[in-house]
Amino acid sequence: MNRVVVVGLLLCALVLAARARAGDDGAEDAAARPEIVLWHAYRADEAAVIEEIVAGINASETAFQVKVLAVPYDAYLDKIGAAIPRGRGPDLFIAAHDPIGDWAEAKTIQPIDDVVDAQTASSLVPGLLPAVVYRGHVYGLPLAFKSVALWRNPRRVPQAPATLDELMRVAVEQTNAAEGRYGFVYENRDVYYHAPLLFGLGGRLFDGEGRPALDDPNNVASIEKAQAINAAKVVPQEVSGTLLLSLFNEDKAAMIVTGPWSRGEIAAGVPFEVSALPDVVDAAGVRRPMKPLLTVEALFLSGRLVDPARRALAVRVARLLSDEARSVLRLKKARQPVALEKAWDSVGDDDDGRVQRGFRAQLDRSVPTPNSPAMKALWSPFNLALGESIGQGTPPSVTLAQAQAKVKGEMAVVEHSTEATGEGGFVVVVGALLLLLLGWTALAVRKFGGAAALLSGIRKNGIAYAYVAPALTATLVLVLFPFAVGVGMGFFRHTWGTYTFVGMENFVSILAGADSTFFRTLGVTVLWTASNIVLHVSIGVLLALILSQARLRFRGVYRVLFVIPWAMPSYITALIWKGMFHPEFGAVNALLGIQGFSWMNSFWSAFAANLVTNTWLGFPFMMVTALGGLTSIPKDLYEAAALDGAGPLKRFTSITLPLLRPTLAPAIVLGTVWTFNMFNVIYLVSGGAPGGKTDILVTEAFRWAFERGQGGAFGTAAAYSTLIFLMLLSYNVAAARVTRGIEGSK
Amino acid sequence: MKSPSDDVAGDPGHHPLLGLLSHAVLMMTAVIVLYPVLWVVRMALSPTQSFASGLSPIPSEVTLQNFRDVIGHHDVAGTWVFGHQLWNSLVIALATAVTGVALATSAAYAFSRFRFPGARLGMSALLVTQMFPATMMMIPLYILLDKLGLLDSQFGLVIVYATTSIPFSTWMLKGYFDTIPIDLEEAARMDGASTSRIFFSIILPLARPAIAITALFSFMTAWNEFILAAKLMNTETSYTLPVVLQGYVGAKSTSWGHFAAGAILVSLPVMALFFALQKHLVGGLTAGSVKG
Amino acid sequence: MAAISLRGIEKRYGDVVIVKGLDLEIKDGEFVVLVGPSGCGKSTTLRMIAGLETISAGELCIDGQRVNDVAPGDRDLAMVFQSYALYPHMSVRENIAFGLVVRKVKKAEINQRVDDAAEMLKLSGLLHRKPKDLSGGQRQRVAMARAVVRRPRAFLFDEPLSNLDAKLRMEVRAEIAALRRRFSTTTVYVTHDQVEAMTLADRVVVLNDGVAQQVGTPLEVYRRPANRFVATFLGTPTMNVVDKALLKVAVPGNALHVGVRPHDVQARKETAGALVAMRVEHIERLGQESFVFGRVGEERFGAVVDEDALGVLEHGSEVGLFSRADRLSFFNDKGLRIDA
Ligand SMILES: Nc1ncnc2c1ncn2[C@@H]1O[C@H](COP(=O)(O)OP(=O)(O)OP(=O)(O)O)[C@@H](O)[C@H]1O
Ligand SMILES: [Mg+2]
Repeated sequence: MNRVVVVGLLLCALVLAARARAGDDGAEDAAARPEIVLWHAYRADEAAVIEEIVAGINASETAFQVKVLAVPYDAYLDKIGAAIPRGRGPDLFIAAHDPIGDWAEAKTIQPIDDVVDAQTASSLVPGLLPAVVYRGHVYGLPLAFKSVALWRNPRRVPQAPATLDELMRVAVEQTNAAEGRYGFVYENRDVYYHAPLLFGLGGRLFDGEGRPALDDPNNVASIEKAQAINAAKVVPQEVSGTLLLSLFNEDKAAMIVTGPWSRGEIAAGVPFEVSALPDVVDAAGVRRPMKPLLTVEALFLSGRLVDPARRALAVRVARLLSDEARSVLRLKKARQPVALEKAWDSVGDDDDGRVQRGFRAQLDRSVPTPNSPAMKALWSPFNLALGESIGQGTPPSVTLAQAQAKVKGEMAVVEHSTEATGEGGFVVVVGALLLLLLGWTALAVRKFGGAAALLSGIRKNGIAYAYVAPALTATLVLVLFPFAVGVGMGFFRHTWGTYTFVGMENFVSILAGADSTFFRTLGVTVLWTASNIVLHVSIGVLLALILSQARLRFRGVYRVLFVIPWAMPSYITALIWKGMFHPEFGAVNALLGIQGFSWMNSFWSAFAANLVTNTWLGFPFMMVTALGGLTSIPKDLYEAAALDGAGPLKRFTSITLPLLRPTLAPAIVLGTVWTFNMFNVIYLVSGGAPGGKTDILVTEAFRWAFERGQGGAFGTAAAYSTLIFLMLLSYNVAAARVTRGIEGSK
Repeated sequence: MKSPSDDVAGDPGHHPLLGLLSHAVLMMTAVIVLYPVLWVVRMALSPTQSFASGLSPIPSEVTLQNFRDVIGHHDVAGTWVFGHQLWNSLVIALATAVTGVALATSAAYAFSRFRFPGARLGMSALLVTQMFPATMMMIPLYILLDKLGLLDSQFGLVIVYATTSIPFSTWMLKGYFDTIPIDLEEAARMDGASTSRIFFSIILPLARPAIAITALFSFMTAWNEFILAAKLMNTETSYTLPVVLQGYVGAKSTSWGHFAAGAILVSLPVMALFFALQKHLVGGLTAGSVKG
Repeated sequence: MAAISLRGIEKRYGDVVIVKGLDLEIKDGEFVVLVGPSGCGKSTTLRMIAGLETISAGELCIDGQRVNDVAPGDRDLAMVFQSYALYPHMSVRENIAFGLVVRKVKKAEINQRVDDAAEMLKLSGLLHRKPKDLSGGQRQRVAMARAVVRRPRAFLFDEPLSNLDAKLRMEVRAEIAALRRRFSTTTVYVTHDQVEAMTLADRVVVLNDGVAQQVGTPLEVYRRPANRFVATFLGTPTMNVVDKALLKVAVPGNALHVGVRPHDVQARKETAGALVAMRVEHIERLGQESFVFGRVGEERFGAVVDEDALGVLEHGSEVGLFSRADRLSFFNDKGLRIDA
């Protein structure tokens, strides 16, 4: 048997290897002509234009070739962060400017003051350069700029309002709740879209010394203003980007706030005009423009690109990409607001030109998103504060004070400085962990009666080990090392690519943290796991029982129908469920007849929304497993039991359940582990709302790794993961004990 | 196709009311299952790229443009990118299913049939590998695959996916093997069948339901994965379909029409596979082997 | 056809010894029945012969060749399992043919042999069915056909009839006997049913606790049980064994107990000259014959009674018990047989 399997595996490997080789064919060619690798995260028109431009460059340049790769946006930063430090990344890449701080500190990118010289700088649209400067050096060559602006349907709002008050007057006129029409729709729970109000009312994110200043009185005033807009009901509840655009497309939103990226989603024939956001007058009577955050898309050179000749080629590519002809191409074809001033001469007076000029006008009234690493830590707490103030009406002074405290607390956790041990210490700890594992193995061997006994045992049971070895080795090899590294990281603090040994500090700060977030989150996680498993299993088994009745008609059809939730990518279905829970436009409220009930405003309803979604996604797996398990139960057992006078319930509990156990048990055990670590649904449906209360341990770990700290608080995240691992492990050990005990007593 | 004997859990003394009740439950479930899916269909068929909302999932305007765009994706050089990606997905998912099921079957068979030291430990070890949150394993895994020279290689993905699916598959198969009477194997041994013969002629046919499930599971593990695939693969033609789908999601905007069409295309093969496999989920396979 | 010899065969599970040094020479063509109480190691012994169980110590030879380490399939034996172990996913034909297919016998020959075996076992009409669609007796016959079709060197049966009702059991027993006559293949047959043992066997091996208590022809074992265990294990009703002092009988040497089968004891109304007198506690009328039971000393004691000749007995009647001297067995303090 193993021979056949081995042969099969070899064949697979061969086919794959052959294909991989085939893919490498271009490599020789590249040796002759160096290949400059360019990554971007554009899609649709923008990606097509980049491809076209690169094809043109490749056709005309003889000295080198450009190899371009479009990476999905969601994977982009992660991929860059993983690839560049190992020398597997691109030579240059296009990205938004806001992670510059992190990247510069971690040497993912390099200064390009020589590329963006005075001449180049002066050729750019004014206002962009500050965005790509970090600690006195220029790091990116700006290609385009993006910010939100005011979009209006000219049939409803012929003239762009000059002040917010004027805008609100029009918005109120255009609002008709009965028809589901709204005057002024923007994502009022998202700092990014709130920023225009914030800066318009003199608010700020950082104080003069670069420390977070979320509780600035002007910030409070800005949220109060947002609350007032919300109270005027010109904006629906729980606006998301998708809702906003579909309202605008259906002519149910007169004015919206969004950026150039939304143009692809505007339905054909829907008229729109874009202009700068209006001015706003604060309580003291000072009138300022509403200033959105500005994102500059720029070209970056990999920090690993040191070879001067190669770097020169990459710089040449950068220059080509940003030259006038190609800027015009991007402006016209990809409709990008490009960074090169000269390209704007080509903008005409057609519809498209007016829209472009709208965004250009907004640029002059915008604030570059701070590129300091601290910025990342602000988003989530600020969003929570905003959400709570808008959703529950909590005074912003309270929520912002909480947010400020939270940011300070998180920064304290990641900034605890101890003496540095650098990468060396990291190797030591990982090594120690691997040694520990080895030691444990050795102990297990001794318990077995020494190596000699083990060897003879292995020889005697040779076939058994031969059968088990491939699966076990493959699994362990691919898990052991990452696992050891993962656990090891928990003893370190990560700042921009360097690890500092901090001992148990991460664990201590999690477990002994003043706010006891960990234990609350643990409680939520346990509740989440238990309720999911109960629902998945009971629904799955019930459906399997029904579907295994021979006399049932169409059961094949049902069976296939019911695996759809499992088969369809959960990203889209989870978002659809989120939409279904919308207070005004969602199907759930319509069905239950509770118009306007906001599911995301209280813990229990948000939890229920997550639970329903995950049950929808998760029951098919249990159903399929149970269907398989039912096949191993001989029918005569039921007949025998029926003759013994057992009723249906008794038959179910005394025959079906026990005999289903061998197949269901692994599904339940693993289902528990998976649900405990289920990230997607929580992240997509409730996003932790309200106020992070529905977050579970993994989402919390994720936030530490990617939303906090200097280049990611990987240490804290790893410590979280280790704790998760330990809990799951002890749960399973205990469960095994209990089941063994039950079996033993039988 | 339907013989009275493939009634597995069906209770004797069927009540007509039970049939009605069954259909009522099934219909309700079908509605709940399909409602969100209809939205996906609606988005896929609509000419715009915006996210559909409202109450009725019936599309007002129908076009196949989104499907045409997704399927017909060519790069400037004229390479049929979608074709490559579909092929990658198929090869990787099938290779994962074959590798995963083969390894799991052989391990599960040993765990079920042989008593050997370390068996319990081995089973637990498989389970334990699932417990550390995947997010934290990504970077080390990347480093490991880099060291093994398996970055940007389909083989690397297959290995990782297969090992992800092996624990469940092994546990599942072991549980199922346990229900197959050992007498059958002994009878075959007396008949002179070799171990491989016994495995392929006796055990495999009898374990069909479990194999079908694990094959589906392994296939799905590979077929729907995108996080790792997006991270490891460095050319567009080596992407898998889920990565392509992820590519329709931008920083602040998403091509929902394309995404929905892609989602439907991605789920069709899985449903087809399940449709093909589901006849193996009918039952009482071991009935009649023992007892008088 | 083959001679099978077991020399000092042992089976251990860890420290527990299940079969303790079994010696047995099975002659070519002989039909040997292993009997014994449940758990005494019959199946284990049979499975060691089959090769399904490793042999912990001792030597197993088939036709003079040591086969301890020969795989079951290479020993060329066929086994009929107590559970039948039919392959549920194969038709009856495929079930029967499997052993031949595995051995790569030519198709035409397989078909011929399967048809022959099926006809012999009255399965011809059932060849396309699956095992689950067969009755118990039919499954049993398929299991036998599967063995027969291979024309093995020996048949091994493990309680093949234990799942059948009494009537079927008799039919199939007759079939086995017929098969036996037809092929005169060496056969080892495990049962705890003595009727099977008596009717089928050339020789019976009585096992208890992993030890052969007696090996002999059915009559030997029945008439001259080697010890008290064999004496009481075989025969229904069981042999009466009582303290020698309770019977008026001449006892050889150091015998302590006297055994006699109820069939060999006549109950009469007179008590003069009887072995012993007994009060009737229970009467079993089987139609053909009747038994009376009472107590001799503390022991239950049975005898045949001819009520036609004697007139109807009643509970509490006093009867005298008579037996031929050559039908008595004597056992010493270790329970071993003492011959007069
Ligand atoms: N794997 C094992 N480990 C330990 N003891 C075992 C094992 N298999 C069987 N035994 C023991 O060996 C003894 C003999 O078993 P065996 O099956 O040979 O009995 P048997 O004579 O066939 O009984 P029956 O008439 O009930 O079939 C029993 O006491 C049984 O408990
Ligand atoms: Mg037995």
